[in-house]
Amino acid sequence: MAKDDTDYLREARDDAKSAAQYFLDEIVEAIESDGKASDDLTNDYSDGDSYHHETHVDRSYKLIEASNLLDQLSRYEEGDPGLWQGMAPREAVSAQAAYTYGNAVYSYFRGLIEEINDKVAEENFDVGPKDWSPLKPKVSLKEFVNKVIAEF
Amino acid sequence: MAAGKEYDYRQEAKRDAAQMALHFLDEIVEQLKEKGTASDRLYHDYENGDEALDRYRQGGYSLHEAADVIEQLAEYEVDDEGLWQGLSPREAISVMAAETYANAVFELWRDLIDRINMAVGDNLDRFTVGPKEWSPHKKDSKLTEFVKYKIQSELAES
Repeated sequence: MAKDDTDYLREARDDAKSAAQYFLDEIVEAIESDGKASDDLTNDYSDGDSYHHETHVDRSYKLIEASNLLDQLSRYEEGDPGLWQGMAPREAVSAQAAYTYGNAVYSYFRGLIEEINDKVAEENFDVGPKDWSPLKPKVSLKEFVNKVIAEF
Repeated sequence: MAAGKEYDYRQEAKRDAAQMALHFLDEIVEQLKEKGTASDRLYHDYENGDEALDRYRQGGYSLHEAADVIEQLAEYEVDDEGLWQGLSPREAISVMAAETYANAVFELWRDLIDRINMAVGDNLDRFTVGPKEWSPHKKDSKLTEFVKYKIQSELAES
């Protein structure tokens, strides 16, 4: 049997970073207009829901992969039986693994957005509905956010 | 049961099948003496055959162990959805693994019975078995020893 040495925690974290990169313009716009970016990936980003499902959830896992994933990402384990009702055990475990992975990516994405908001606040960028000035700071907000994402 | 990816559940199932054949040694020999072949109908032709197999239907596999059992014994996979209806995926996989393992023991036991029948058939002149030819006064212990040897050879190989 093929071994599965995948580090699913790292993959989920990397996928969260990729999602933030994908929505970088929207994150920056939100910070500029509201002072902070939203962590609600599925509702506050353009097609965020379908992006999340197609990119992070809609996958199938072999049994050994699913068992490793569920072990590594147990704190994000999906527990809604309606999602795999009527499925055979192999498919059910694969579905649970897929939703669990989606939960993990979502959680990392929220953590990353929180970090971006905190770091932006610490750096005293002139952002927000009242304070935003079109005058450019030394480092652009977009560059700064991009750096925070890369270092996450 | 050992945990981990390296554990060989096929070998364990072969060992358990041989152990089950040893458990039924007297009945196997009796059938050989009476009919020339031993039956592979565990539930019908052996005393408490179902209970004997139940010993190998252990639950409580972790998800990793269950995945290993099902992957290694895929050709014996049980697919009766009534067995895991309403269970969580983890529980369902554990039950599926237990049923698959027991099914593997059962099928490997049947294979062993088949090999015993063929081996005895190839050595009829040594044992004089079958409904007409068998004489209770001769060669009885020889047949028992031969069948026992065949089973123990399986154990030694596994």
